[in-house]
This record gives sequence, structure tokens and C-alpha cells, in this order.
Amino acid sequence: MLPRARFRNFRASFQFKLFVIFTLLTALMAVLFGSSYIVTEIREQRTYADNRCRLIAEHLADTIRLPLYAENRDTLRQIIQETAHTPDFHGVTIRASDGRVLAEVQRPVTRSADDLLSKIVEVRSTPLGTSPESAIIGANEPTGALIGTVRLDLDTTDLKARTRRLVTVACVTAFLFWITVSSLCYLALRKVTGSFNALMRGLESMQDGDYAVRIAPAGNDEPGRAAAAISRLAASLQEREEENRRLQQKLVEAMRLEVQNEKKQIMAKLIQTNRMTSLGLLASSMAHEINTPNGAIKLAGQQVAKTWKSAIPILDRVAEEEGDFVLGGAVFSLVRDEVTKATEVIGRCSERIEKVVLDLRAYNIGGRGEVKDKVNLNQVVSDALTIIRAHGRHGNIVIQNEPQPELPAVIGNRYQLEQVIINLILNGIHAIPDECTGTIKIASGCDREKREVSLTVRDDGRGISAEIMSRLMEPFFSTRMESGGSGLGLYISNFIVTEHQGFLEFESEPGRGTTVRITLPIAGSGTTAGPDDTPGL
Amino acid sequence: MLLRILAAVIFSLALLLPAAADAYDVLVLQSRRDPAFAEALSGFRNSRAFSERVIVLSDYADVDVTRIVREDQPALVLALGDSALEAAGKLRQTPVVALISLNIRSRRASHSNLTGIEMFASPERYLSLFHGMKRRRVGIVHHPARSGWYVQQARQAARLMGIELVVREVSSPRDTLGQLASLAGKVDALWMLPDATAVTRETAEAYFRFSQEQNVPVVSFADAYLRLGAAAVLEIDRTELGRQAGDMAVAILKGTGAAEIPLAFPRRVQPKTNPIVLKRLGIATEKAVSNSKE
Repeated sequence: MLPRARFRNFRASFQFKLFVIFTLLTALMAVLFGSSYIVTEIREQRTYADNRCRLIAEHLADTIRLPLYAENRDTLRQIIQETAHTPDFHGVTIRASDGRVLAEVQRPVTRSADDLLSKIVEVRSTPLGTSPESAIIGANEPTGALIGTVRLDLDTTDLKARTRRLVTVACVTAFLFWITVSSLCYLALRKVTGSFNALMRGLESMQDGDYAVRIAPAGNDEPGRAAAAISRLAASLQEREEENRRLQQKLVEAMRLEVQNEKKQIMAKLIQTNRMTSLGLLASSMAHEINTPNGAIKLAGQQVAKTWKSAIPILDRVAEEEGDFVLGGAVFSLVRDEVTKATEVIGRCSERIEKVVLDLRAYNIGGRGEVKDKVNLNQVVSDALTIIRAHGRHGNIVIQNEPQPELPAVIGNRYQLEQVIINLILNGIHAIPDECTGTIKIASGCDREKREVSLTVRDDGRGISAEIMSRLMEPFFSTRMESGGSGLGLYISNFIVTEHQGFLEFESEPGRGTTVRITLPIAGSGTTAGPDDTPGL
Repeated sequence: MLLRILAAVIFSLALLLPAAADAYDVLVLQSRRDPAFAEALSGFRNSRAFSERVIVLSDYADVDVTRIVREDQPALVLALGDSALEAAGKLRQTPVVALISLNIRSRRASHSNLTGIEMFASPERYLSLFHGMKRRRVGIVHHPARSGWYVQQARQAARLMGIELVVREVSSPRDTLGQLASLAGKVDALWMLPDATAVTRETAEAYFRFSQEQNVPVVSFADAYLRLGAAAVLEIDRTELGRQAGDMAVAILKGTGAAEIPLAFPRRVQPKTNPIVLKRLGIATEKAVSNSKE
């Protein structure tokens, strides 16, 4: 951590704030007590000096009372000289009661008035001293008679120096006190906040994700107990994290396996899709290869029919004229109709081949999905059945188509709807077990009030379980994945129906077959779209 | 007629009765209201029932004693204190008995009709005290004009008792300190006289300082000095002083001239001692007092 960041953290710390508070409080106390002490001491010193000056002056006045009364100047001077030994003595002036100076001693040093402490004391006779008259009559004389005055001047320069020393010593003492107390406060705070710091270091480590850290409790105080609790919590978190890691590992393993299975299934589906694509291409190619000779057959058949048709009157007249004759190994009366029927069969079959090929190409190409028009569902069912029949895998299964006459048309893509119906029919066929007989009923219906057209495909096969029923519309879900199911049939069918503003419904019970209902809205005018095809089978 | 006689009687009584009320024997001039004067006056009254008029001089700014005496015609004036004695100094015809004053003797020189009682106890009483204390050299500081007569008597009495008086004379209070200093080492006792020059408020202390410095007892004349350090005093009994003056007044009223009555010492004095001072000085209290009572 950078020094600046460390200092910033330290400045924001609990320890620093407490230290600042203690330091400021200590400084305030030191200043207050120091100032109070200095002021008190200065006042005391001044009072002491004042009292001392007064006491010296009064003592001097008491001492000189009698010499002053006797105006004995020599004695007065002698007494003053004794007083002059006082360390801060500066001068004494003794005056008689009439103001005459009887004795005066001044130090040669010149001092200003501010540097002198002066006291003037009256010299009076002792109050107990009485005159004979008063003594005889016992009268009291409360105050002594004024004899003179004493003025004492003391030099205060020493006092001022002592005051300066006092201030200096007090300031230094206060400063040392402040430094000492602040240092002790810092040490005490370090001791007290050690638990906090350990707690914070532990928390910061845990914040970085290191739950292996254990905060050593620095004491049994609140932070110490919190540190212990957080250590326990960290241990628990570490255990959970390891558990999660194990579970995650297991999950990854499981997902890896699942992805591999999924991959296998997708690959199988891709193979199936590729196979279907190849099959489509093959079918398209076959359609092209079939369509060309079929066109020639159709054309030849038409030519034959046309020729036969024009030959029949001639042959009839020949038969009338010459009697019945043999033609192509059979008598003309029999051959006449058989050939006519044969040409019709040729035409009809070639048309049928053309239609199958056309449907095969349309199914494969699918490019006509964008085309929407009025569609008669009955016709779509008929076309689908044509393809189903061409598929040919419904040997024991009876497919019954029950179209509703005058069925209103719907708007849609007939090829997509046909694909849906084919899917539903094939699902019904697959639902009927092999080697079993079964019936698939296709019925159309109409609800004009709801303006809906419905188509129902019902089989009596195995039915669908509830578990499978909930996943029917999922893509790539199939119960016949092993036998070539893509799992896309119902998914695509549901998509197509939904695109046609309709919906797809399933009703099924295991063992009792399945009913699938397609419901589509009636086209705008509600008109019927062309005649129905002939019901099949 | 009867009414005229009655009116004349009433008029005469009106004139005579005040005169009868104003007639008294003694005019008492009291310097000021003070218990000491009251005590002396009480003793005076106890000696005999004089008719009197009392005037306290301090109650008035100016009192014309001469006029009062002329108008009242008292037989005697009793002057209590120095102020009263001074006020009575102008009287020449009326006899004056003075009490509680230090200036009686000096006044008497110019006032023939003045008598009274001195404030000095007899020298023998003091000397007896010194004798009891076994003191043989007694120092005295005095002003000759004020107390020279007394010192003279004291010398005679002292000589008889074998006591030497070491006398220092002063002419002003300031001299006292120097004269006291000159007694240092020469006396074993100090006799403080009621001399207004030798003893003042300013110099009284010097006696007792001398006593302490020289370790000699001071014998004084008033118990006020006991508290300052006097070893013993002879306190004058003021009541008895009044009685003594009463006796003088009786004699004067009986016709004896004041000039014929000499100044007298107080008849009764009370010795008082400061036991602590005596103890410090090594003097037996009982012996000193007993001697003074003899």
C-alpha cells in the first residue's frame, strides 16, 4: 500500500480519531490548567510581594517609632541600613509628621515607577500607650498619635524575572505534560484498539476472498469477541466455499457428460437431417426423372386415347359391316371398352404420377411457404392422404376421412398445413404398435359462431403419458429418437399452426389413444373454397 | 384688699422661690462625661449631702464659669479634670477644690483659693514597693517644673529607706528617650511618674522597652500601663478621692480658707501587679504587694 494511502487510512481510523480527541482535550486541559496556574501564581506572587513590602514597611515603622519621635537621624539611618540588606530593597524615606525628611536611603540604580513596589506606612505611637491624664482616668485612646511616615520602595525586577521564569516553567511543564499524556494516550489507544486493528485486517483479508485467515483475538473485549465470531464465520464460509467448489466440480462433470450425450443426440439429428436433405434431393431428382417420361406417357396416352376415339367409329362400322372381329387377341366388342378404359387409366395414372411427383417436389422444396391463400382443409387432407398412401406404411391401419361438407376456407399456406396434417397422421400411425390393427379418424368441423374451422386426427394407439405430454412441443424431443425421429415434427407443426393464428390441442390417455385438434380462424368472407375431394379409403 | 394682699404674696413667692431653687453649696465642674469622674463625684457625694449643680464642660462649646459663679454664688467649686481646673482658674473669690488633675500644684502657685488632691501617691508607698522588690537603684525621668517637688520628697524618703534615686530631667517629651537610654545599666528599677512631659503617648512605650531591654521592673501610677509591661502600679481609689475632697469641702464650708488647706496625697491607693512580668523579672509578687500595703 502506498504511504499516502496508508496515511489516509490511518487518518480515517478509529485510533487516529480517538488520539486526536485525546490530544486536543489534553492540550486544552494543559492550556487551561497552565494558564490558571500562571495567573494564580502571578497573583499570589504579587500579593505576596505586596504583603511583604507592607510587612517590611510596618516592621520598619514599628522599629523606628521611638527614634523617629526623638528625631534621632543616626539611629534612623542605622535602622534603614539594616533594612537595606533586604534582597530587593530599593529605597526608604522616613518623614516626620510635618513632612520633613529625617532619613533617606536610595539604591544608586535608577528604576522606573513601574519597576518599583512602594508602600507608605504611618508611624504611630503604640495604641496601648496612653498619656498620664488618660491613664489616670482610665480613658481609652483607640489610635496612636501620628509620629511620621515610612515609604519603602522594593525593586520588582527580580519579581518580574521570577514571573517570567514561572511562565516559562509552567509552559514547559504543560508542554511536557501534554507530550507525556499524549504519548501515554497513544500507547493506551494502540493497546485498546489492537483488537479493532486485528479485526479490520482480518476483515480486509476476508474481503479479498481469503477465508483461511483467522483473527487472533487480542482480548476478551467487544472487538475481541467480534473477531472470534468473525473467525468462526470465516471458517464456516470456507467450509461452504469448499462444499460449493466440490458441488460445482460435480456439476461441471455432470454437465460435461450431459453435453456429450446432447452432442451425440445432436449429431444423430444432424445425420438424420442430412439424410433427410439427401433424401429430399433424391426425391427431387427422382421427381424430375419420373416427370419427364411420365409426361411422355401422358402425352402418348392422350394421343392413343384420341386416336382410339377417332378409330372407334371406324371400327364400329367395320364390326357392323364385317361383324365382330378379333383385335389384339380379343374380340373387338370387348376390346373396344377395355382400350377406352385403358387409355383413361393411362391418363389418370399419369396425372396421378404427376401429382405425386408435384407433391413430392413441393414437400421437399418448401419454398412456397410464403404463399398464403384461401385453403380448404378438406382438400389439404385429401392431398396429405395421397402422400400418406404413397408412403405405404399403414398396412393394418384404416384411415377414415370424414370431411364436413361446405367447410369454410381458411387463410394459409396449403403446403404447410398439409405438412402439419401429414405429421399428425404419421404420429397416429406410429402410435399404433406394429402388427396391430388400428384406426385413424380424420374429421373436419366448423363453429361458425366462433368463426373457427377445426380438424381432428384421432388414433387408438398407445396414448401419451402426462410426463411426455408436457414436453410434446419441445424441439428435438421424441420418443422415437432411436428409430429415426427428429423431434421436430410437433414443434414445427405447432409453429405453423400458431403462424396461422390457430392452436393445436392434444387429448390423450395412455392405452386409449390420442386426439389432436387443429383450430384455425375462418377466412374473412367465410366462403367455401371449392369442392371437396373425394373422401378417401 | 384681700385680693391685693394675695397678689402681693404670690408675686413675692414667684420672686423668692427660684432664688431658693438656685441656691446650692457646690458647683461641680466636670471636664467630660467619664466613669472616672463619676466615681470621684460619687465619693464626694457620699461624704456629705451637698447641694450642688453639675456642669459638664464637654457638653458645651463655651462655658462662662465666672458668670455662673457670680450669678449662682456657690460656696465651693469642685473641679474634676484639667479642663475643669483651667475653667475654674479665673475664679478668685470662690474656693476651688481640684481633683484628677496633674496641674493642681502649678495652678495653686497663681491661685491662692485653690486646694485639692494630687494624683501622686505618696513617695513612701512607691518606695515601699521598690523595697519589697529589693531594688536599690531606681531611675526617674521627670520634668522639674512638673514634678520636681515630688522628686524632692522622694529623694528624702528614699534616703531614709536606703534607696538611691537616679534622676534624669527632661524639658520636652523627645528628651525622654535619650534620658532613658542614659539610665541603661545604672538602675535596677524604673519609676514612672505622672509627669505629662516625661510620659506621653509616644514615649510611654520607651519605658517598657527599657524594662525589657534592661530587665528592670517599671512601677507606674495607673493600671493602664500594666498591660504595656509595668510590673506594678499604685492605682488611686477615685471614690475615696471624692470622699477626701468632700472632707476638704466640709472644712471650707465650715470656714476654713482654701489656701489654708494644703494639697494632699490621695488617702487610698491600691497596689496592682502584673504577675507575669514580675515572674519574668524574678520578683515575688506577694512580697512586693505586701510591702506596699504597709
